[in-house]
Amino acid sequence: MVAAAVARLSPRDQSILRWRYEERASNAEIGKRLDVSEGAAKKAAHDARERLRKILDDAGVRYE
Amino acid sequence: MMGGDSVADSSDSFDEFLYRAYESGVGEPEFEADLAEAEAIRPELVTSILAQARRESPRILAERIVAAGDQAGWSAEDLAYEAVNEERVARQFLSAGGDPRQLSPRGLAHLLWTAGLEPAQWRELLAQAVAGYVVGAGGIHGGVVWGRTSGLAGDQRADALLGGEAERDPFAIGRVAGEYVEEVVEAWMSLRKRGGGGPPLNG
Repeated sequence: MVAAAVARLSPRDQSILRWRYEERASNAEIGKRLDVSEGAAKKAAHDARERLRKILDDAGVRYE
Repeated sequence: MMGGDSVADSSDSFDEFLYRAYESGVGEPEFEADLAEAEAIRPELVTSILAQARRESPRILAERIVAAGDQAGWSAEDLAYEAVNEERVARQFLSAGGDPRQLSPRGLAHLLWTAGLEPAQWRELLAQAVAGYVVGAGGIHGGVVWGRTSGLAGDQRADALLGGEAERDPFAIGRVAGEYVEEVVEAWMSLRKRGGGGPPLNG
């Protein structure tokens, strides 16, 4: 279910989430890979997570 | 650094859920294109995609300015205010990107200077950003005006630099972008020389 939801995200969001939750990359590391500041990376990761959350919410997936 | 800091300030249940999901294996993204037969891509589609990619540059540049300004203690609104007489355009550029040439070289230099960004941090990106809009512009009309183009903006600047019947070849596009970038660098150097534009709040 999560994989299907992730597949609906943009490749950029998919990569960011993989770095964050699979590789446990820091905001600084994500920023380096995206060539943006740490602050911008934090926002990008937050936005990607929220987009995934919305897809899962819409699909009725419970994660608590 | 691989610190695993959370997206939010503190890890919440959704974060935990995602860590577990990825640990179990969400897998590499598999795109339909990977499974499709190879087929020729129409040239106009390639052109369109390249133009679209180039247009991302101004947005990235704007994000970089806002992020650097934020680190130096300047909000986007504060930064826009520094582009005297161009505040509205500066605000629009910082929030949405677009053609950097909406701003005069001096106006953009003020934003970059105030945000504390050195030319090495934006020179190439700015050139890409401008080039994207030169590519995307319409036909060129009017006489050839070589040399400095201060006082002109956007397509007028491109028109003046490229000339009436010039084709938009990569060299011409590079010349337009390079000219604007050099003017911004010049204005930035001038600001640095006299320490104008307001020092970073925490610098």
